[in-house]
Order: sequence, then structure tokens, then C-alpha cells
Amino acid sequence: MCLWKKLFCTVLLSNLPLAAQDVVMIINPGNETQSLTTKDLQKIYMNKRSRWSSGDHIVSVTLESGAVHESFLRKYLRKDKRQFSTFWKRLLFTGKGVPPTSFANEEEVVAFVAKTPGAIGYVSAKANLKGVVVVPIQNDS
Amino acid sequence: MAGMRKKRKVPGWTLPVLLLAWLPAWGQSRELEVHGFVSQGYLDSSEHDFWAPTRGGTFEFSEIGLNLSKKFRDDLRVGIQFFARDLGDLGNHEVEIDWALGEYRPRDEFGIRIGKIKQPHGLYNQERDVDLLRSQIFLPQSVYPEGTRELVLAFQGLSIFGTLAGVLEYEFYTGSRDLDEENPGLTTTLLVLNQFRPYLNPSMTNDSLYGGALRWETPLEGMRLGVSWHEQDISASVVQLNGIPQNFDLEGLSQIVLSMEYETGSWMVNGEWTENFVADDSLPGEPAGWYVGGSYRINNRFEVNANHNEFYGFKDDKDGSAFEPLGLPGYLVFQKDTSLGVRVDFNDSWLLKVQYNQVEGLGLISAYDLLNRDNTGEPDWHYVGVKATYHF
Repeated sequence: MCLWKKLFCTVLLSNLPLAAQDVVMIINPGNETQSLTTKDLQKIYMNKRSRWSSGDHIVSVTLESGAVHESFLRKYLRKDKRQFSTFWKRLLFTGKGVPPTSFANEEEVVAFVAKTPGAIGYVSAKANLKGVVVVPIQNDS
Repeated sequence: MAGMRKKRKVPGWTLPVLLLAWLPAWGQSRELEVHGFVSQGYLDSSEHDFWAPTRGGTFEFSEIGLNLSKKFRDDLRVGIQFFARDLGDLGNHEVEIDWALGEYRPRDEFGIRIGKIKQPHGLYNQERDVDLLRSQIFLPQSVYPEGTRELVLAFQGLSIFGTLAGVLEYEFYTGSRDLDEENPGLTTTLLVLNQFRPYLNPSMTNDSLYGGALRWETPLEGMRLGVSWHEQDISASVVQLNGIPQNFDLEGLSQIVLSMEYETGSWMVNGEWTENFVADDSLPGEPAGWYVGGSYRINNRFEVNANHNEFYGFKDDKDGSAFEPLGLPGYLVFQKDTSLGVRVDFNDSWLLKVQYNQVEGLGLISAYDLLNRDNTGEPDWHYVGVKATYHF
């Protein structure tokens, strides 16, 4: 295949959207939060809110990569993977913050959220949700 | 010279020794975050050198950083970043502590940092050495000039900061910074202060600095506005070739930057305007600069960018005509720079950039150009950069 065809295919394939994934937000069972909004999630995952309304610290976690991770970023944070990564690296390399802990798979996310007070994470709707609570996300009013 | 403070260079062996000393203690509780980046570039230019011997092409253009951060509690964090760079005679790969701080943040609305802190100046000053965080190779020189980088880069002191209502970030700070009068960037600043006359025994100190920055995420999603301002006192002195000492007490040297960035979908547009204010009437004038630019992400791999920026050494004399009676051409005091570039992200760790800059004037490199090479008398020139970065 000639170089130009390769370049064209690379550009084309890079633009194809990933299949949308159903994402659910999960919190530790000790957390009494009844619901969250998209803006709440943006503040929590973009370093602007660090405490629940109870006063407890928020411990946000992410998936390292994958369709569920990218679906969460697009649906709730209006970011793509690189924008989210760059946001946190900007804080990291300027001494202004440390990124959320990330996990390689959904089982690890569920296990961490289940045992960590104040934790919040996200997994696919099909994941085993034993030990965590799904928190509904409401539209911003 | 008595009273002169030298910039504290960190010996090359410091990094491994500190790592060996710190890692065991930091590993006791929460995880230690270790990140870093390495960049290597190539620069080529016509007519004039861009802070390195670029007219013949040069690989003297690299950066390396290692970052260690650790949370001891949810509201208590420490971090340090080691950094070395090379841009011609700037840096020469000497390892320095880029920043090192402790942060206590009991509330989202209020926190405090103590240590060596990167100065919030414009939207991008704190991240200017981290190539992976931007689309271009060089930030617009009119607002982020390489030559006076040390005068705004970082300081030792404290800052208070926070986020109000989730949309308004503030940071106020005070401290001082070490200046190295042998740094080529500051050497050229001294040469400008001395009206381009050669000198001996230079000295430059900063004893006072304070300032603040506000960044507002507007109701228009993706739009943020910023204002940053600082004031510092700088004492400089040289000895003229005839032996007469000359002092430059730049008290109340202040600078303001107004900033705008709008990101929507694959597009990002930005612009900043800056102006300096010098209390000392004996100086020939006050610099100012601005830029507009933007980038477009074609897909996850390819991004293109463009920028136009203008710098005026004397904001009330944009063509430098007042300088001509001194026997110097006006193009030495302004610089207009238009750039086009592309960034390619091969994966989450590797990226490559190419950038072309077409320039009129030497306002930001004039003293360096006069000091290091024969001046060609050509006001129009260009430079090209290629830069690869690995980060983790």
C-alpha cells in the first residue's frame, strides 16, 4: 500500500467513533449521596470539588483505558481521552495536583470503591456491582 | 561581588541520591506518583540564531523532567520536579529543582503551598517547559519569551489558592527568586538595559515579588478567561568598560497578562495580551506583546496549529524609530512572528511536532544576536523546529 493510502486510512480509521457503552457511576455503600449531576461529576473529576456534602473527602478513581473509560469521559466530562489525560498531566507537572488513581479493569474499580469510604468510580452497566451502590446521574437543571 | 546571590545549581548526582533517600520513606503509606518526560528537538533558522547556533541547524534543544508526588492525607501533599534543559547556551543540561512544594488544602475554596512554586503568569507559564501539554513547539514569544524566562518562571515563597463556586480559581503569592546574571537570557537583558554597550562584572538580584492570578471558567462551556499580575524589585549592576559602575534599580517592575482560551469540539482558540510597567523613568520604555492563535484536532493523532504574535520593546514606539538616533535600526526593538505547526501523537507516550515560524524583527533576540554572531542586517527571517517527546 502506498504511503498516501496508508495515511488516508490512518486518518479515516482514527475518526471512527467507538461504540457507545452504558456507564454507571458507583459509590461506596457508606455514602448517603442520593444522586449527582453531570456538573457534579465534572467538578469531582476535574479537581474542583474534593468533598461530599457530608464533608467526607471524595476519592475518585478511573479506568486506565478502554471503551467504558472513553464513554464516561465523553458522556459526563465532555472530554476525550487525550484531553482528560492532558488536563491531569498539566496539574501534575506544574505541582498543582495528582491524578485520580486508575485501575486496569472494572473488577478492581468495584473492589476499591466497595472498601474505600468516600470513593466514586464508574463501570459498565453489565459489571458485577456487588458491594457498591449505583448513584443516578441527573441532568443539570 | 558582595551581596550578590548566585543561582543555586543542583549537582548532577543530586537526583539519584535524593531518589534513594526519599523512595523508602515515601513508600510507607499511599502510593508515590512518579512521572517524567524527555524531549529532543532540532532547530534550523535563516539569517539569525534563535538562542542556539540554529543557522547551521542544531540538536542543542532538549528537555528532561522527573516528577515525584505523594499524598500523605487527603488534604496534604508534597511534590518535587527535577528539570534539565538545553537550548544553545541556555540550561546546558544542568539539573535544577523546577519546583518543590508542600500543599495543604483543607477546603476547595482555600489552600496553601510553600516551597519553590511555578509562577502563575498568563495561562501557560507554569507549563512552559513541558512540551507534551501544548500543540506548538514554542509558546508565543511575545508573551513567553525565552530570554526573560527566569524573571517569571518560579519563586521561593508561599501562595494561597482555591476555587470559588467551582468556576473561579485564584492564586496569590509572595516570595523571591534567585537570578543568575550569567544566564544568557539575563545577560542579554542587561545588555538592553545598558543600551547595547558592552559591560563587565554583571550582577542581578530579586529581593521582592508578589502577585496574583484569576482564572474564570465562564458559563460558555469551554471558555476560560484569566488575568495575572505581579510586581517585583530587581537590582542590576554592571561596570562600564571605562571602569565606571552603573546601577539599574528596577523597583516596582510589574507585568499584567490578560488571557482567553476557548475550546469547543476539536477547535481551540486562544489569545493573550501583556504589558510591562516600569516605575523608573530612566529606562527607555516599557515592553508589551500579544498573540492570537489556535489549533484543530483532525483526529486522535493529528493536530494542526497556527499563531501570530507581536512584541514591542517600547510600547509607545512600535517601529523603534526613537532608537535610530542611537545608531541602531528600529527592527531591533520589535518582533512579529507567525507560525504554523503540526503535532502527531503516535500513542499515549510518544509525540512528534513540526513548526515553522516566519519572523519580522529581532526584538526578542536582538541582544543575543549581537552578542553571538555577526548581524546580517536582515529584519526578515524564519526558523523551523522538529521535536519528539516521550512521557510517562
